[in-house]
Amino acid sequence: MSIIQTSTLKPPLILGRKTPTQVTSDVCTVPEKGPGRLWLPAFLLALSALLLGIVAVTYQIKVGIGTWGLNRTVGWAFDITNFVFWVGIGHAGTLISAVLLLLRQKWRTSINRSAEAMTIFAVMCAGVFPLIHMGRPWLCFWVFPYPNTRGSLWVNFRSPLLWDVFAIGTYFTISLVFWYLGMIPDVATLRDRAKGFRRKLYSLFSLGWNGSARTWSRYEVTCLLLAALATPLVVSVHSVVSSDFATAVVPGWHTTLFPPYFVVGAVFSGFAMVLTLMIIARKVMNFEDYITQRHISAMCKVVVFTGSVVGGAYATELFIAWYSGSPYEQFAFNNRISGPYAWAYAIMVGCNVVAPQLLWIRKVRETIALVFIISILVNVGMWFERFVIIVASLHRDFLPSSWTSYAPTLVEIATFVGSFGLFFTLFLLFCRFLPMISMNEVKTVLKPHEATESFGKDTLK
Amino acid sequence: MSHPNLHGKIEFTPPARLMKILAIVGILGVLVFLGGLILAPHRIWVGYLVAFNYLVGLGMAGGIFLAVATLSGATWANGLRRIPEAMTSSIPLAALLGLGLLFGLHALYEWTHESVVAGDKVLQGKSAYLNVLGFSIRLLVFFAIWIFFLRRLVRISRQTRNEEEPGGMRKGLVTSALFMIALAITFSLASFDWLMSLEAHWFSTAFALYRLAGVGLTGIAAVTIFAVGLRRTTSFRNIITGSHLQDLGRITLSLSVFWVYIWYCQHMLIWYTNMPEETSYYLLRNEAPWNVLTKANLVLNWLIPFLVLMPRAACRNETVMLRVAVAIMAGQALDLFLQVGPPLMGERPTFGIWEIIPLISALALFFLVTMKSLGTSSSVREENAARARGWSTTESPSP
Repeated sequence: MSIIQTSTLKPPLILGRKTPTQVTSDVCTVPEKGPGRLWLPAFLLALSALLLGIVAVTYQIKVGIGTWGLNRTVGWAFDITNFVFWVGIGHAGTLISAVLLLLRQKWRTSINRSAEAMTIFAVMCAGVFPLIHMGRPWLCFWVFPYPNTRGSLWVNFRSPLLWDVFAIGTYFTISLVFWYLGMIPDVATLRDRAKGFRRKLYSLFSLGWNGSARTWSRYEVTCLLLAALATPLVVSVHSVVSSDFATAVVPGWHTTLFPPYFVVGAVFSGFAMVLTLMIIARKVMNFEDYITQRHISAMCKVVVFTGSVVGGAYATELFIAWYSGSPYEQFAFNNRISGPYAWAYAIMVGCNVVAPQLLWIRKVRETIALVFIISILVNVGMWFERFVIIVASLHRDFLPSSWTSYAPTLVEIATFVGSFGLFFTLFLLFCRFLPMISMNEVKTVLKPHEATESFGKDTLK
Repeated sequence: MSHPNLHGKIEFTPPARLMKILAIVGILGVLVFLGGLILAPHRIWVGYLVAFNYLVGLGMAGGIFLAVATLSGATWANGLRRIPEAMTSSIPLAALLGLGLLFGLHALYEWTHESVVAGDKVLQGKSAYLNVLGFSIRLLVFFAIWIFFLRRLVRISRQTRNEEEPGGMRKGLVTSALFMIALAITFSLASFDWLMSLEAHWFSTAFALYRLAGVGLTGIAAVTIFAVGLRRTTSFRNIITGSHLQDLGRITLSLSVFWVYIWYCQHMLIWYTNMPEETSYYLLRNEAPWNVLTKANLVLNWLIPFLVLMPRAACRNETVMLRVAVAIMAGQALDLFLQVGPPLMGERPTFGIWEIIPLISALALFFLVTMKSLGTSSSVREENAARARGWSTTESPSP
């Protein structure tokens, strides 16, 4: 045991010989003294995008979803693509906070807080799309199963769309509770350092945290229990989302591999988004000692692994489509590769399978600019994956007379931009007012007495 | 800096009587197989295919364990590595069985019958892949790739001792990563060839992953059985601790849940869409009398591990762990029987010596070669422990 803990091979997770006091002051700087100069322009940009989205959504609710480019053949397109895209983004948060907690992966401590925040905001963005898609969003409560006066009309429990409501509802609730619970000790730290109205506000949200041994003990047990509850959610949510497609008889949608393949894809896109955001955040917020090369490398490894699995799933789908001997399956996949949406398929394979393979090379993992570019490519690729699955499968259906194509309208594009606006507005507010790094957890992995300078760059894999 | 566990003599001598019994059971299996070829040619090949796949799974699981432990930097598994290393020694034997399988293709696979293919458009479409020559070449290629990687993995694993000796670490990482990529391709195709093509019309994209989950589960159960066995009979007790058992228990639990997850995905999606070409697979398996076995399959591979291993105390209890591992080993054999049986046996499962003896003797041979290999490798460990302390510079023998 002792070998592992005192080994000189494992470099410290946090650089710069930080002491607990320094951690507190580093992390509290932004919530207390305000952010750097870049924050306000970024926030205004995000807010503008959000406003554009609000205008677009208001317009389409007033006029109806006829403002979208959908038609009788392609009944799902931009809306559901965006929905699946955003739900997928959210997956890294729960994986980092729950699964990596259970696996005792200490490197999660620097990034878990913001990844969880990202999860919650991404799920919020995702929720917007099915809500608008209902056409009459003011009746959205009809999705809940309760005894009602509408001729006792119940929801269809056999529909995966209803499972979505349950799966994503649970996911959002547990993620929110988990995120908030994890933040309580840090909010209490902010409270103790604040004065006046801010103190009252942080005091309210720290739920009377007193830092006693008993409080800590209960807190840790609760976190572990919540982690155990959240772990099945990492798998269940995207499995359910995938069954929206896989339970249909549409060629290209119905395949038994869909649930695990969607889950891995979601983790893939989620980690790519965490990488994108963390690479910006560590620079802008001066968190380079906390989110180090080692963290980035670890995330890169997750990305290259999940990306390869996704590639394997694409290959399996292609092979089985041929092997099945079903002319419809074979046509659907031929059409994906060489049909009108071949360009989207090429983007999907290029960004999801080819680009991440560069991360096998250590030099690439250590070149942050390259990692940043790859992480963005992955995000683009994963959006196109859903677009290919949805639109390329639908636009050539069983009846050639109804074959058509699809192009998004300006309203749809504006809504999509608006969802990014919502995401970044919330994320920037989070960075501004809450501790972005989990102080209490980072303090458990500090090694202030070890000489961190003695580790050359090459030992930080 | 020296590791307390490295002191003292660490040796495993395979019990001579047990080895003799295992060898006898192994030979008995060969005799039953030869007898079966004359007396019940159709039944013996069912047993043979199950035994073959079971043995392949156990050997490959050893390699997967080593590769995953290396890639994830699982230092906790260092004390256990001798076991998966030894398990891989069953793969050459499995390759031999694979060669034998080539003589049974006609009895097992519908697509080898030219008259059937001639009247079947779908099978004609597949004949570019499903043909005897392609099947045989692929089988040889799979085993060549596997043996190449497993030998390397074991050699590297025996050289890398613990945290003090990172030598070969990079080599280990590269080999492990390449092995996992090769495995993903070869193992998928192998499971399509050997098992999925028994029902040549049926297809499922999750099938390979389902097999892989099953192999992982059997493998971890086998590692547990050896771990408990070594704890009970040798001074490995100081190396394989309660924490190791607990870790094995957690992995068993999660792999068991993963296995049932893939089982459920495949089953639910096929049930839900109810397409004729897909539901054919479950028609027999979900009707009496096969459905009893389908349910038993879920109980042994999922329900028992799930309920028993949930509490921490159960994972640290070697008797409990041993029993769960045995249940899983039995469950995975049943799972294979459920994949092979229905297309070849029809509406009623038949279960007699022709089905059971090949499996039991394959298992006996697996234990025989693994224990033999463990007996030689445990002394390697002692030598390396000395090397780690700087006493000796002799090279460790390669496997």
